[in-house]
This record gives sequence, structure tokens and C-alpha cells, in this order.
Amino acid sequence: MSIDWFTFTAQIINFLILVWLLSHFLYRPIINAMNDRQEQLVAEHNKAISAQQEAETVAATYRQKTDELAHAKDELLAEAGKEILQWKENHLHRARTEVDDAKTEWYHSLKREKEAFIREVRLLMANHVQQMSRRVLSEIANTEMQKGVIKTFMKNIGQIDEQQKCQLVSLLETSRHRVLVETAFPLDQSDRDLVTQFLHDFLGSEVGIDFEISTELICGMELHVAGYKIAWNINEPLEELEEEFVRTLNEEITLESVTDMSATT
Amino acid sequence: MTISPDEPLWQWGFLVLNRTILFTWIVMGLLVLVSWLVTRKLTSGTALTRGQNLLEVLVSGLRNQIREVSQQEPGAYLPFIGTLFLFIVVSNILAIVPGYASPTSSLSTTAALATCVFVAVPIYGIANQGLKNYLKQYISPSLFMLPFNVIGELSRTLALAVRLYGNMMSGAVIVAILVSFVPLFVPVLMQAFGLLTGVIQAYIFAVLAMVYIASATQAKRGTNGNSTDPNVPSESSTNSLSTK
Repeated sequence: MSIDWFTFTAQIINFLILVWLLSHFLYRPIINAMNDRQEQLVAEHNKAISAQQEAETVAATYRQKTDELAHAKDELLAEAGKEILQWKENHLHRARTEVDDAKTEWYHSLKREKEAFIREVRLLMANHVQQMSRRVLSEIANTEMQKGVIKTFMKNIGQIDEQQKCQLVSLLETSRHRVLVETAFPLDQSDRDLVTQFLHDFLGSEVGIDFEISTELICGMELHVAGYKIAWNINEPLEELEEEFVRTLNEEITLESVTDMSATT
Repeated sequence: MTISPDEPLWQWGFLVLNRTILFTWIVMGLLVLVSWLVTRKLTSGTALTRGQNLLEVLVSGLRNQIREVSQQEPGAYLPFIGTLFLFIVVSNILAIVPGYASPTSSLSTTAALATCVFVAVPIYGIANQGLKNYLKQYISPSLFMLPFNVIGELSRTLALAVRLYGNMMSGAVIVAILVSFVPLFVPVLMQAFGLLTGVIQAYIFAVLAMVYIASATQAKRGTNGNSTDPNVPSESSTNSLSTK
């Protein structure tokens, strides 16, 4: 156990040389490489942080835009919903109005058809009543009734005023002093004489009288002088009855229509 | 059985070439060659070669150890402390090579390394706190402590040299003796223990050197030349690790 001083000195020199060599070939390059990597990592880390912040900013922007779009979408949907409700209400109101109008029109049309039908039915009924009356009267009319008709006819002629009588007399000239007497049944000779005598007295002249039969009269008698007629028969009261009946029906129907219209409005 | 590797192999005048110097050059050449081969293709990217990865782990470990022991940035101390560690550990590990004689089993080498530490301590101390403050620690806390501090400096240098030399030389001697008695298996086991001892001794030598330097550079913080920083291990506590 001794120290060789040459070796001692040489080892010191060797160690110092080794320090320099390793410092040059090992420590400095390795530390520089690690520092460079550290700087790169720091730079990349900062870059990543910047990118992350930028991404967060962009994400926040897009999130805000998304929220705005969602809000706008909600508003649009709400607006569209309101418009749809309004449109629906308008169209429902319009449809109800059209339905009401159509209903009213249909009701009026039905009313008119009903009225027309009732009127037609009533007219038919009136006509039928008239026909029935006419037939009944024609069935019960006979020669005996004819005599009563003659009396009534003569009574009616006797009651006309002077003006009509003068007018009637003046027409004799036109008819060459001939008058026409129509009856529903043929008159026997006594009845013809009676009528002839009456007319001569009434007219004050010996006028010629023609007797004719008209079945349409049912039970009556007519006097024709140059287009002027004086008549009494069952047909005229029946026609007057029918006219009166129809007029009364029309007035009643018109009154009902006015009442219904005022009630619907 | 040759105990000292300082016996000359070749001599010319006062120049002597012995196994200590020869294997020291081999270790130096090996360290420099590997460093050059790896560092000539360094990259600062993330795709590292295996060699660069190994060296970066090694250098980072050294820097972290220096930082932990000294509580200072390791930049100024890395070349000295790192070279001490690498030289000693490679010298010790190569002991498994047949015919190889570790330079650290020579007292001349360990004394030279301890002397380097002995010189480096005041250099780093003066560089850090100035000549006056550095010298003041020798008379702290009183002038009466000056001889004790000087003796402490010398004795710890001597302890450094003898500790490493003793461990490495004893390992080699034990293996040599065991070979003569039990030539099979047991020497292999002892050599494996020798590897462990070699690495530990390299670590202890480097850490103690760093502790001495750190105590010198941080003496102004304490009162008697020893660091009061709880994170800096004291010499006595570190010395307890070095006893084999």
C-alpha cells in the first residue's frame, strides 16, 4: 500500500483530461439536446395551449351561434305556430261562415221549395175542390134548378142600373137586334117564352132571341149582346171562390215567409 | 499474486507505463468513444436512439443527484462530479473482464481522485463566495477551530482515497484468494458482489465529493462550515453509508 507519485500525477492529469473530454463530448451535447427538446416541448405546449384557447374560443363562438340559432328556431316555430293558429282560426271562421251561408241558402232554398210545393199543393187542392164542387154541382144540377136560375137571372138583370141598360140597348143595333141566351140545360117552351117576354119588356123592343146550350155553365144562364155579356151561373162563383182562395193562400204564404226571414235573421 | 497494479509494464526514463495508467486510458477511451458515437447523431426531437436515451437518462440522473445534494443548479458541478462517478463506476464494472485490473484498486489513482476533490473544494468555494468568506469558515466559530478544520479537510480527503482503494483492492484480493481455494462458482459470486460494491463506491465517492463542495459553497449559510440546510446531508451521515 504505497503511492506511486508518477502514477498519482498521471492519474490527476488523466482525470482532468477526461473531465474536459466528457464535458466536450458528453455533457454539453446531451444537455444542449435536452434543452432544445425542452424548448421545443415548451413551444409546442404553448402552441397547444394557444390552439386550445383558440379552439375554446371558436367552440364558445359556435356554442353561442348554436344557442342563437336554437333561439331563433324557437322564435320562428312560435311565430309559425301563431300564424298557423291564426290561419286555422281564419279558415275555420271562413268555413263556418260559408257553411252557415250554404246552410242558410239551403234552408231558404228548401223553404222556397217547400213554399212552392205547398203553394202547388194548395193550388191543386183548390183546383180539386173547384173540380169537385163543379162536379157535384153538375151532378145535382137539373131542369128544376134551371128554373130557379132563370128567376135569379131575370132578377139580376132587372137590378142593373140605367146606364148599363142604355149601353145594352145601344148594342142591339150592332147585333141587328138579336141577343143570345146560353143555358146549361135546354129550356122548355114555357121557360123560353118567359125569358123572351122578360127581355122584350126589359129592352123595350121585340128583339130576336137565340137559345143555345153551354154545358160549361153547369147551372147558369148568360145573355150575350154584341160581345156584351150578362151572366149568372155556378161557374163564376166557383171561379171567384178559387181566385179568393188562391189570393188568401198567397197572402198567407208571403206572411209566413216574412215571419221566417225575420226569425232567422 | 500481484496486489498493486502500479508495477511498471514498460519504462523509459522517468516515464512509466503500468496497468493502472493503461487501463485508465482504456476506460477514458471507452467513455469518450461511446460519448462521441452517441452524441454525433444527437436529435432534439422525440425519436431518440437507444444510446442517446441511455446517456440522457445518465446525465439527467447525475444532474438530479447533484441538485438534490447541493440544492443548487448542477451546471457547474456536473463535469467534475459526473466524470468522477462515470470514471469510477466504469473502472469498477470492468473488473469482471478477465485480466483487467481496476485503476481504482490502486491507491495512486484513488489518492489522485481524492486530491482532485481536495483541490476542487476550495476552487468551487472561492468561486461561489469569495476568498475571504471561504477562508473565514476555517476559523468558524472561533480561531481555535482552525487546526481542527484543516485536519478535517485533510482527513476526509485521506478517507475518500483510502475508502475507495480499500473497497476495490479488498474485493480483488478476496477474489484472488478464493480462486486459489474454491476455483469454481464462488469467485463468480464474489465478482457479482464486487460489481455491486463498485457501483456503490462510485456513488459514495461522487456524493461525498458533492457534499464537500456543497458545504464549501454554502458555508456562508452555516456557522461552522457545515451546511445547516436540512436537505444537504452532513458529512457524518454520508460517511455512515460508506462503511463496508
